[in-house]
Amino acid sequence: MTQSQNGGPAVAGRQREAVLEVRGLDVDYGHGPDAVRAVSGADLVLHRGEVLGLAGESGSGKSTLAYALTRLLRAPGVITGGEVLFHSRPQGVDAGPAETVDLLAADAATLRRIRWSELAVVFQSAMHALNPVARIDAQLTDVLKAHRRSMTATQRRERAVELLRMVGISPDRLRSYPHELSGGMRQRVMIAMTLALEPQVVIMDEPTTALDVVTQREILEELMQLRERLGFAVVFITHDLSLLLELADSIAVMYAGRIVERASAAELFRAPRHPYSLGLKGSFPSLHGERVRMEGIPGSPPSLRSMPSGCAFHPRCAFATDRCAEEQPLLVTPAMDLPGGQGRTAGGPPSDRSSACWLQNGQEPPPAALALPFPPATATSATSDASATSPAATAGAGSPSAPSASPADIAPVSLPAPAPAPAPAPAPAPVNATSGATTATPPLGSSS
Amino acid sequence: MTDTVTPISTRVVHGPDRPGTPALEARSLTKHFKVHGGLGRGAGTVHAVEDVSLALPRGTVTAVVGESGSGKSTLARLLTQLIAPTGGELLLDGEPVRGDARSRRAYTSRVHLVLQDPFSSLNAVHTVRYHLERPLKLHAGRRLSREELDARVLALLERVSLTPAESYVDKYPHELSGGQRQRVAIARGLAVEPEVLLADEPVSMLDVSIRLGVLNLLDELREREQLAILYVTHDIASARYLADSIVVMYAGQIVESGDAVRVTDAPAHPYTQLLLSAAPDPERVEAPVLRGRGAPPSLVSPPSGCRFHPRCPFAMPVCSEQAPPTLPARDASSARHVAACWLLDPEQASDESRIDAAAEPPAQAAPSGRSAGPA
Repeated sequence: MTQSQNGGPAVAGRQREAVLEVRGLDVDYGHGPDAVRAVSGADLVLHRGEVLGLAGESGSGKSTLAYALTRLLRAPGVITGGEVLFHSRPQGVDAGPAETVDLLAADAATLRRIRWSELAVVFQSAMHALNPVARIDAQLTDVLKAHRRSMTATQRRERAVELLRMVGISPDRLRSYPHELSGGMRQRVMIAMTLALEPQVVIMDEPTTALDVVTQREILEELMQLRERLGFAVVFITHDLSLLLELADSIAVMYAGRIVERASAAELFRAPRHPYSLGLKGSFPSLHGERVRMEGIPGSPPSLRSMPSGCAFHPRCAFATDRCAEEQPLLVTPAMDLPGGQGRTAGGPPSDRSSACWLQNGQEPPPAALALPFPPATATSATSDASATSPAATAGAGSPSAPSASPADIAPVSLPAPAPAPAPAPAPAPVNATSGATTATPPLGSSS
Repeated sequence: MTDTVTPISTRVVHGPDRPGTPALEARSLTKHFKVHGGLGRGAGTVHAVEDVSLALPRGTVTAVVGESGSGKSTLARLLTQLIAPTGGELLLDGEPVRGDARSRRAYTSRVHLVLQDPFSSLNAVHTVRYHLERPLKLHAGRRLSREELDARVLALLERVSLTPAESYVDKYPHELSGGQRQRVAIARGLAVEPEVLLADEPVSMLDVSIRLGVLNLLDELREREQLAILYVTHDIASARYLADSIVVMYAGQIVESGDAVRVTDAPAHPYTQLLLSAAPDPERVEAPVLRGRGAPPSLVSPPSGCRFHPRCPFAMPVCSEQAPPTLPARDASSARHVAACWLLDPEQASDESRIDAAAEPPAQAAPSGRSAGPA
């Protein structure tokens, strides 16, 4: 909870302004004694123009979380607690005033105003999300008809053409039916529809999972370019952690309905602090280097009906202790990542990362693989895997980079972009490093 | 249909290089599907698999990598004899495979298929025991006693690391997790004591954290039981992890093949390079540059010459005129790293800088062969 209040506008200026805050969100499926908890106490902050990755396996609650925060959750899903604050700052001609809305308390009229025009969703299966018996132009102009009453039919059509061009589809496809388009084109049409009203937040639920890698890469490239131009923030939900590490600014890893680790993509890749993140990261074979046997994670994810006691991951965790089976760890900043902690390389940027693991409470040194310093002390460790590198050289134990920083002051820096760091820590997706600047003045796509 | 077979490439047999007769060999396998066009469009032919020669030696894993529509699943189905090839032949242990019912039945007990989706490939109303007893009864050739059946079923479950076997044998599929279901499906495949296991995307439906477990199981089966395994996948990283050889397919043809590490570290064909640049890779420092956008071609009327030439960033005039021969890759450590590309022909690609600029820096010269495998 404490973490989620950090990213307010006061902290680091406009680029770090929060646009969506989720606090203590609980979602159940079913009522009464039969209810199972699908999401427990989720805390998230999405900043303007950033890509927030939600990673997790099936049943981890990542999609449920997305549906809950847009209030699209259907019965038997019930939101039983928490709040979702949407800090709207509308742009454009017919924009309303800046405001903060609690989406969970909002009435139908408010939701109708916000959905799609400010908070839009790309669903997983474009095949099913598009109407098979309506042409593309009808589906694209429909949303304009409903939300932009002042537009004429000609204007709507022009806008539809412009939207298709934006996602790289030639306008002669306007009269096509969805089945006449390839899977990649259908997904592009979905993205074009989502961006029709220039939303501030786009939630993407496995948008490219069913596509081939080349198509997936093309669409992601386009999406990132559009994000730089239009300045929307993205919540990107996927099970593919290796893709998120490349794409996202910050990542929240979910397991069995809880967020177990939250960190910047670079931190999560170089120095995970939760055993599940470490295991998940180790479940993706590398494209480089010596082939080594990898073990993945033993066992399988728990069913929501029979959730293990304490930390839900403890039956699969190699580092589990007695305490893990009894008490649920809270999502807090690891002791070693607090200012002056040994998890930070001297001179490195401060961190707002957090991890829900008893190993990280500072009472005992965590296992080596979960205690790597960040940024990496040496630039050569680029391809070394976590278990091979010794965490011994915790150089900056006594010299915190920002002595004045109390936890509340720490700006959530996602990437070492201003580069005070001596080691050139490779950023996984350089696109992200520049995005902050461009999003400060989002040009409106309607002008082109 | 033999007119479509290019004479040069027929001699190249893809797959791991091992002495002796391979467990299963495909020679110039071709599959064309007849399709009905729409109204007034007449019929067409889908050139799904074109002139594929592939050897699967015992104790090896061969990965077939490609996008959807590349023909990789059609190839797997051809190898199971679920569909009959338009041209070419299959050799099991060096013997040509005949098409009559008796030989087909014998064939199915030696070559077995593991399907993608363990949620639908197991029958929901039957127990694990039933699934494993069926192939035992059907292929044993004699009546097995109850004790014998029980012992074999339990042994099968142990072979796929579902232990203790007694606690799994009477479960229904819905009581198992995805990974456990896929293990049962593999155990069912092993029940007939096959020599060849064809695994069509065996892990793509599974949760990320349990995929490696199934891949490691396939690795153990190769090692322990000397199975010849064909691993069909779209995930080139997992192919690199598991396989001895990688075969890259594009639009129904094999465009590159060779030692798994070599193919991924120093891809020779522009399409392989494209696939690798598009694959997710957290270690990538810069955003990848995709060279060769667009989509695979229609297989009803595939492009002339090299089927990749409309997308290829290095296409030359010859590429659209003549299908490229299969040539050894540049600085290939073994003759088994080959690619079907005109750029590898010294006469055609006089401007050498083009392919060199495209090739990824050959990373450390990783030792080829089994020693580098996930052992």
